[in-house]
Amino acid sequence: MVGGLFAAYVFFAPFYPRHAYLSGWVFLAVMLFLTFFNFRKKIPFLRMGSVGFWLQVHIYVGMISGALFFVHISFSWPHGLLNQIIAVIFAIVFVSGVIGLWISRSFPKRLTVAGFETPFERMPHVRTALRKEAEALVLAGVDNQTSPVIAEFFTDKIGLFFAKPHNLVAHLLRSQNPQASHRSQFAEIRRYAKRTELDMLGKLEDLVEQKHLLDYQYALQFTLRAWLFVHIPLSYSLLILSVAHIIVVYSFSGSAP
Amino acid sequence: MKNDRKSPEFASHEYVRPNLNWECGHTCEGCPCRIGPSPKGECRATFECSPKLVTKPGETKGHYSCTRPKSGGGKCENGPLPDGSCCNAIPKCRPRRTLRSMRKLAVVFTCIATVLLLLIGVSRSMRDDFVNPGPISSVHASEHFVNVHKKMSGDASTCAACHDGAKDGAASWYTKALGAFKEGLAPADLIKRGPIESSAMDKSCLACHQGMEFHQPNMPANFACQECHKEHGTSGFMPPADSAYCISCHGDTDLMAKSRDLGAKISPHSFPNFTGGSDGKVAARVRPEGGYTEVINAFHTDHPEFRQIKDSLAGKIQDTNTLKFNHAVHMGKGTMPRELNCADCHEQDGRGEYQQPITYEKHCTECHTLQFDETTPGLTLPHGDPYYVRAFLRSLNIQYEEFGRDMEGITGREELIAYIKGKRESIEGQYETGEDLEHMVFFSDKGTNFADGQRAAFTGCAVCHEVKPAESINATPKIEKVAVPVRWMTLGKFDHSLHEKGLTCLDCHDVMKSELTSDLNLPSIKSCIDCHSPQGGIDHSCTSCHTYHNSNPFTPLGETPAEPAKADK
Repeated sequence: MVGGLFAAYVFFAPFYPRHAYLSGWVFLAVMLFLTFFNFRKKIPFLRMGSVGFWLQVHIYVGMISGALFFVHISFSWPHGLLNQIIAVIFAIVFVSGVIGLWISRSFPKRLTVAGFETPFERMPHVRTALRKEAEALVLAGVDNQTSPVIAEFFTDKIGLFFAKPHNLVAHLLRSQNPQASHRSQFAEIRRYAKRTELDMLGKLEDLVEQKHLLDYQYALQFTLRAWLFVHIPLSYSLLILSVAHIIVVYSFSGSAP
Repeated sequence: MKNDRKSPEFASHEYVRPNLNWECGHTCEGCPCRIGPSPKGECRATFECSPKLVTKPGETKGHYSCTRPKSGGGKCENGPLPDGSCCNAIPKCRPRRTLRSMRKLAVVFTCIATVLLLLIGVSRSMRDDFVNPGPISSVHASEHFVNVHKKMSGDASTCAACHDGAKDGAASWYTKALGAFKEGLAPADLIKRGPIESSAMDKSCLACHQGMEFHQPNMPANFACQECHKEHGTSGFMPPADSAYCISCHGDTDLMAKSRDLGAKISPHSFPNFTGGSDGKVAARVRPEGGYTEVINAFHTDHPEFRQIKDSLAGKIQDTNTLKFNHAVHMGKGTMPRELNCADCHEQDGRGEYQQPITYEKHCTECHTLQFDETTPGLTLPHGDPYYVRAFLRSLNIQYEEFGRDMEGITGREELIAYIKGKRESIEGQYETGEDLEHMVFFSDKGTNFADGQRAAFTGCAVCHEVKPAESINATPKIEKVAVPVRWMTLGKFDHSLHEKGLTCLDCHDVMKSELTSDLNLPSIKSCIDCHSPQGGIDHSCTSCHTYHNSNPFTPLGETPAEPAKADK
């Protein structure tokens, strides 16, 4: 598409010397449409199509905006501080949008395949439940004859693991290192456990495994929400700067009275 | 492979709505209170229930009963305190924002930061650098330009030299932008074809540069300077105008037709004159019928044949130089005392662009010596004016005396008289009368046999010049003035030195068969297109040959043209 637009630009631009203004206005209209895509959710009573439909439109128009951007900057990186700031912000918004698209298409599949699917808002509850279950398990198994090594293993290595999400980057990268690390730690501790404690260690390891799955869910679901922290605020920033750009360009144009 | 571990179960009534702005501070511990924070983010935790006073029949005082719902664990074991308050106080928390709320906050902060950035950017100290869309050309960035601008306007901002918007500060931008939107850049104007018409900013250009009537007067409209001169692109020289801008008019059939019609209504004297003066050094260029309005889309596709070539083929134009010159003879092998090459006569000027004029003294005298007396090889006739030639011939005694003294070294009076006498007798033996000698000098050509059977021993003026008999008794024969134009194609510029790489003169100028002076010997456009085309790979833009302006539109800044001195009254 960019190639086609470039060819059209080379051919038509000389005949339409104000094409930069024209593409600028079209670009602004597209940005407004994209930025206020979310407003559709505010007016559900108007029945303007499903969210999925509008999301698809948002994606297509977003792609077109990338091509329009190249046309508007005449296929060369702009000079000047203001223009460069706008270009950089647009690039970030566009790239974050593409990344967001990829995330929203690929992460749900990964979440389903990984199992132990949990709604994001329920994760603290599930995490707490896992923690309490683990603590109860260890406390039930601890008596005067229990090896202190297991108690220390829980308080030093495992207890804190249940307190909050861990290994976010590793889970995003599908790394199995955290799980492998815990498995090796459990294998190590089993050497010091009595036969009666092995069952408890097995259950505890299962809880740790569930916590890993919960962290995996958390990592992916958090990323599914976090990219919007870049995409949405900078979209508004881009709009403000674009309006300023229009005012500057028009007031400095040869046509300004 | 899909992991078949089931999702954890949770009570559906505990679902936390993600669109709330605040959530209980204990949420991260997995045990949020049932009440939750207020919409403003304040903790509302008090007690787990509000005990209810229950009075059984027959009782007067009644007792308080726990009202904790099942979802909160049901009735507590201890029950309400005697004063009716709940015994389970909910620990206070510090509510925290939900992700959605944090995102809203991020949007607000980003918007505020953007506005602050803009305010800082357009502040007086940073404004020019902030809004400047790119480096300006070296001329407009020069210290001289800055000084002159300061002197002219008193404004330190060099942006104001061109842009009115920079003069009045950021506060006026909005109104100026609105004005521009209404006047020249309204949505309907943006889809107009053709170049940008003259705009208000041109006035800034015209403060230093000459007026805009520097192209053809039959243009349908005056175009803005910025149409071709693109500033803010590079810090070096302003880039040359793109051919596309020329073609936007010259490739437009309608515009060219309009221009042709306009040209027909305008006085021919309004058009720029390229006759080049009366010295004939630049070939006169007569404006073609209809002007330069042929539709051209590219040099290599439909640029018309050079007019000189076209007109010479049609017999409309030829070299009118009166000098008789035969290139074929001069370049031929064995026909000359020594082999000549082009550079023997055609010397480039200092810039290497064009050829210097050919002069007799420099280029012809080696072969054409103007010797008339066979016995006196060093004595030659003067060149340039027939009057002096005749005077020379009529004062031969003096010429022989000077030659004998200066060239032969004869200083004794007697010897000098004898030398002159000998020479006189010799020349009188060659020619019957002085008139015959004079006649032969002027009119003899190679092998000319005069009516009385005499034949000149030398080649006279008529070998190279058109000589006409004297119109009166005392007048000299008339020799037509020689005029060798140094330039034929005046509409475009040409640099010979650039074309020396890989090309010889004969590759473009086919002179080996040219026998007549009237032959133009100019290359056809076809030979140019061989290289100046996409296939040839050499620049074929309009500006590589043509300039838009008829004259240099630049008036040195701060300098006023000198006025002629006025005579004292």
